[in-house]
Amino acid sequence: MLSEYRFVKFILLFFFPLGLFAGGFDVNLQGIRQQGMGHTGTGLLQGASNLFFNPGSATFLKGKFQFQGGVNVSAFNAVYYDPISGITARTKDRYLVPFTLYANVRLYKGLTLGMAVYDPYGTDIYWDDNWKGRFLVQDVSVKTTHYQPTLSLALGKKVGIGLGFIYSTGSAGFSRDIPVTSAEGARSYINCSGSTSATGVNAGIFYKPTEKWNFGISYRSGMKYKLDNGDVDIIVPETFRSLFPSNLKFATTVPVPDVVNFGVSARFSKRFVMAADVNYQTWSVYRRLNIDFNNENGVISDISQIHECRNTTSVRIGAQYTQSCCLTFRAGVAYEQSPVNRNFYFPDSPDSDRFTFHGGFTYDFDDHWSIDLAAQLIEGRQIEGNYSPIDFRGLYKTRTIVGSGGITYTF
Amino acid sequence: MLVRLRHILPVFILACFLPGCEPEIKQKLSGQPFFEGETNLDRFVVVGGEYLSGFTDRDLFLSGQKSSIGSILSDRFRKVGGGNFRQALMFDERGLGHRLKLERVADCEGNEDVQIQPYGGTPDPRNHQRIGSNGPFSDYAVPYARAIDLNNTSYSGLNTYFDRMSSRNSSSIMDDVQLADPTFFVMWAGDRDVLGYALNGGAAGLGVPSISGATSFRNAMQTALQKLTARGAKGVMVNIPSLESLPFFTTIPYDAIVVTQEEAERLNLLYLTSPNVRFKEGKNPFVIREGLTTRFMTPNEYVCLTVDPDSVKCGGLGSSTPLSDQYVLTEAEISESRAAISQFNGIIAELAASYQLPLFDANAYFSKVNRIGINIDGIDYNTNFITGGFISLDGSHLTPRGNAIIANEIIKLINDRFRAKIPLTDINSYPTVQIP
Repeated sequence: MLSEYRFVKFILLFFFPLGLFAGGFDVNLQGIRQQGMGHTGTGLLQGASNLFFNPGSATFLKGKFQFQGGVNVSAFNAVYYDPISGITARTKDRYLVPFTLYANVRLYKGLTLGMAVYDPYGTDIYWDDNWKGRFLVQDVSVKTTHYQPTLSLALGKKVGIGLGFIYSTGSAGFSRDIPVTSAEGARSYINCSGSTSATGVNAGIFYKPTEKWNFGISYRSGMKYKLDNGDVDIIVPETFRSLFPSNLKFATTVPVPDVVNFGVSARFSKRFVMAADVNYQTWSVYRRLNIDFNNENGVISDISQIHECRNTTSVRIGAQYTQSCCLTFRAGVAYEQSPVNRNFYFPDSPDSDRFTFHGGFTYDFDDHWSIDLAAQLIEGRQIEGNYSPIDFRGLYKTRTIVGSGGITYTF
Repeated sequence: MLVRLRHILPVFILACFLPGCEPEIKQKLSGQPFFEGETNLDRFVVVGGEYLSGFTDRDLFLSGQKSSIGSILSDRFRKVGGGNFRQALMFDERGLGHRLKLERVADCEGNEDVQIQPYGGTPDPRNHQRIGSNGPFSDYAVPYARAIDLNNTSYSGLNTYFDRMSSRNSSSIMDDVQLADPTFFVMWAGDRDVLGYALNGGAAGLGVPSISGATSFRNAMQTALQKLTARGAKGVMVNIPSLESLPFFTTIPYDAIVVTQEEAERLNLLYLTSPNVRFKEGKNPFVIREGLTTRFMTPNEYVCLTVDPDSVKCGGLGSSTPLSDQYVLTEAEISESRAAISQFNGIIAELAASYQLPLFDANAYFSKVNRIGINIDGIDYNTNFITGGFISLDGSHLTPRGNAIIANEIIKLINDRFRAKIPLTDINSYPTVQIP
């Protein structure tokens, strides 16, 4: 006699928000000298790294060839506190190591060709094991590298224009726990990862009406990282394994914003320069993250996670003082707005408006070689965030400490 | 100049790796964020049956007791100065040997499937030994104790779970509670007075108790509350969940018998004298025997989770052999149970009001989990069997995660009614049903 029922009818519809990219992943470490003075540089000549800050300015760099390279070690820490339970969670110490390489060569008198390689977005977060939000996110890592060949042309002695084409590679990985208690006590989780590329432009205009005053405007276009074949690994107890297709893939598109920078610098004396920048970023392009799984069987449904990011403005100010022939000191501060929406605050990108404090110096060995060092403290403001679709709330605070070193070569 | 450089360089290198650089939350640093308010949590006691005891997967065992509602609450109470919580702990994970587990086994048709199986192994003999001399305890949630058993002075002879922890043979549960001299309590009693009947398919007699009488229920509860509050203790009362929120009743559909035309014709020959039983091709109701009558189940009746699936699939249970009364809650039994739950909950509410004790409405909360589900920290919970995460393998008692969810609800109520701020627990640190 047949009977249709089984005791155990497994239908798992995971609630499945996933985040892979948000404003907390903004890495403002694109030049060691600029970093020393608040990451200002749209309207200031500092070396080959101007290819990033303002492609229109590279033609005004002194010499036939300029090179700058730098490495940053960035230590990010976030703390989560739930005032209702008194539970605290922290991110584990992870070091992000973004690097920059810039080379610029003079082709003709007023025309330079440059190559810029830099990491504009990145993150590496690993929350405490068994933390309260592990079913939302356990760890996330993102790395992007822009490759930007750039032409810069002087229009007379006062105006320079430049255009760079950006080819960018991006990779991301993300894991979160699955709410299944394994009889063996093993962790059940899903891991998504993938890599892709995107293209864009970086363009700028540089205007130096006098030796004292320099102005700059630059624009980096928004880009879309489109991923078609992301890998999905699902680790669950044996009983559930057959429920998941073995070759599950996911597709998604992650936008990054348009960025417009305004910069000015003033050379008050031979030794003393001040600079200020304003950055505007259209993070509101990041409204929601859609993840489509290629093989739907009712166990994993597609995801549409709300982010509703806001556009941001950052204000930066910095100063540099050349003490002698060989030693230049720098300092700066900035206030950076965060794109995160506190009502859609997801712990994959703990972030908030932040104050940043910068210091640095350059030591010139001779007319060609210099060593650049800088350090930075990024102090996020405490924020009460809530991912309102599921009411996951708490207080978050972040702090980042960055140490950077690089060399400058001019010929 | 190079001398200066050497002075500055180490500062930059150190800056990245300095200890104490981690960010801190302001509220956390500023004084004591949690307080006990108008409660006195020095001696916290729980009184009742399975729900408070940590009974799960059909037994009481060590890890279940450690994640009982009482244990979780006391752990949170200690954050605001609460006292120790003393339990008559079992010595292993096997309890009294009734525990269930999920296991992949071949069914009668040879298909490997996940089935509910005995946990296996031999329980530690000390689980049966009397440890009452270690008392008084804080945990007087005794599995299977009804409200009407609370003041029974010969109860230790009737219930092994109480016998192993009672102070004397002639001591009632409430006598021992008084020895513990509670300053604060949670009382979740009375559920077994109905569910003891319903979970046995309403098969009263045969060792199954009938539903307690309303008068004795009220008297027992009132006496227990008098003893609890005699020395000024405050506390929280909890009422009885409804039948439809327990997967024990709602998991197996009434019409799970699927037959071919040929099988239907053959079956109908067996039931020539039962005009109500007429099998047809496809889905059919279970056949049950109620007294002298053999009939099809109706859509309004419940099949109990205790029915053996292999006997249904291959042994003709529910088709060629009618289900006996203990596996079915008939319409009459359901309405009898419902009426009792509603009457008892009325009494509980009335007593809570007269003793000025806040009442946690478990009936409403279980119904909410059942009807619309809840989502906590990104996880959905409902009362679906096994996958719902809330109810354990016995189909009627909570998982440890379910205990934590209810404990948090009780804390919210205490915070609200006693002007306290007791921290909630992290429910994700407690397991749900363990999947092989």
